[in-house]
Amino acid sequence: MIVPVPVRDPQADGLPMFSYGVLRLLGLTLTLLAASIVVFVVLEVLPGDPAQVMLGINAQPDTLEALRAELGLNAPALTRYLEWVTGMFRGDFGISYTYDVPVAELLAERAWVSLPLAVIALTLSTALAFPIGIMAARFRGRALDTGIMGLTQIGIAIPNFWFAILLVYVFAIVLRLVPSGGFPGWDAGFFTALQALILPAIALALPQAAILARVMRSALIDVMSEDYIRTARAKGLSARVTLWRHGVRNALIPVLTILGLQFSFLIAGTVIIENVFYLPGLGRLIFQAITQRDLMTVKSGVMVLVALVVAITFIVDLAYAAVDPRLRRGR
Amino acid sequence: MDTFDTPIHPFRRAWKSRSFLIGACLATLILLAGLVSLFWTPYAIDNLNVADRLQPASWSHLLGTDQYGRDILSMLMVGARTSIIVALIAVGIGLLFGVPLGLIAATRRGLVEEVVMRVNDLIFAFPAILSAILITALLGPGAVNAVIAIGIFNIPVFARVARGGALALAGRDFLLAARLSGKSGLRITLEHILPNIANLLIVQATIQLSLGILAEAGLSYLGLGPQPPLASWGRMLNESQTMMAFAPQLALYPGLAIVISVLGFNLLGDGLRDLLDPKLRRRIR
Repeated sequence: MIVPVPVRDPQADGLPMFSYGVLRLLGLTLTLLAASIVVFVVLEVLPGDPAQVMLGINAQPDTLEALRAELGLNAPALTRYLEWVTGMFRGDFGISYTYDVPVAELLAERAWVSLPLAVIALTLSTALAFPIGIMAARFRGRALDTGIMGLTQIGIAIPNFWFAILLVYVFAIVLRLVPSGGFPGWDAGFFTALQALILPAIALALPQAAILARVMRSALIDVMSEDYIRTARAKGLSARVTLWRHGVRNALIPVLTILGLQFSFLIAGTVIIENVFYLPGLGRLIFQAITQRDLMTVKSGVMVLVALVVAITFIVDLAYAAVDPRLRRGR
Repeated sequence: MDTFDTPIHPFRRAWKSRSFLIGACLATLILLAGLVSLFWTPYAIDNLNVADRLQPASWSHLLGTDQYGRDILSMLMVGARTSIIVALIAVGIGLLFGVPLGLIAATRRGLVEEVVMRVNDLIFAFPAILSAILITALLGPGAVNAVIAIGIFNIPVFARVARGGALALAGRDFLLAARLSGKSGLRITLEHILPNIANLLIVQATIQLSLGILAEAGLSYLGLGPQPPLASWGRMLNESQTMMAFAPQLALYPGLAIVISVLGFNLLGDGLRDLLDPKLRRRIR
């Protein structure tokens, strides 16, 4: 008797989880390395001498030269690049030209504004988008669905900084419920600080929620047309239990990917929102550093943001691959 | 899903697609406003008239005036022109560089494909808004640099769409027939693959157009977009912020203009997708 041996198709099953993780980690490192070269070269090529900016246009040539030497601007580009990159591995992100403190300190301090802001915004947008998307999928094709989809189209079209301005007008100027901008710091008390972050978080969350609700809806509609949903119904599960236990849970897989993307998007989105609300976050720090030609802060700040984005994508990919072995094939 | 099983004439289908109709109307409105502003605006926008400042809406100024006495409707019309031109050229840059790159990646495969796609991934790793700010701030604010900053991020998007579309066609009979009839790889790409992925590219172009309008608004809000005397919706919003307490309407109109144009092009893209390829599933952004 011939026993059929289950053939492992390497193409279909993909790599074991560990090798997949190592491969992706290697790719991640290469991406970061390439990104650091791009950032360094761009800042190297573009006009603007930091020593000149710091001293003003009336600076004496010898003072300029002394400052350039002090900042280490006279060393060859390759040396400065290697120093910068190896420094970052040791947690040394250079010294800010304008603030004259370690960039690492600045970034850490500002991250305490931006990261909570992004987390609150993401939580808000998820809390809004999930029920809305699920409702739309359940009542697909009916008036409720059409209405929700129309509203999400408008939500996507609203620029978050305009929405932020409107929120400031209504809640800070007319109703005087929350401050219109600024950040008292976490030392001022948890709730006082939180108050300053509420409007910015709502402004960031709304357009994201609109996109996420649409993703949730279409993912759920896809899943609900699968055979196993019909099987679940056929074996006697109620429509509600089928929707939640088999529908929503399976629809979450694509939705989580988008959530990961959105987190990186939110972190970048904080640049404009922090400027609307005068919040001392990472985005505003980098924006001001750019205008002041504080190139060390710009370089390291941008790298930190890129690393965050890449790391989040990596984590989401790993989680995704752990759930679904077919994805370990690589692209 | 909105599939059209029986072949209906495209015009009848267009007539039936709600997204297409609404999108086309809104987009036309914005395009017309921008176009008309080339020849005529109710008032000249570089005409500062402090005596007429902060006028409410009236028959002589349909939407009122701003803090420098400029007519808001005229500013909005010029703003429409600015943002459409910036977004359109940025899309052009994306098409011009992205499509060839994507097609080369798809037809050459191997190392070339690997390099093109890895560079793509690299650009995607940079938060687009942040990099656009970096580029415009360092090159200097202005319309041209805004176009470049937005355009760069359109390149990988179109490369990806072109490559995906071309790979989906690989091995189809009409491509084999073309090869058998002795056509070169380049001719096959230009005469057979490109026309077949045009639909995908058109749909993506509408979506990138609306993203470009949003990006231009964001950059000008930060003061990095087109500079005066050119009007731009983003800068109008920025200037309105100091007047919030006395003249909130100043913040309302430019924002509405942005929403109308972004909504218009998004709906148009959605509608076109359904019309041009009924088999294609609706995707979100």
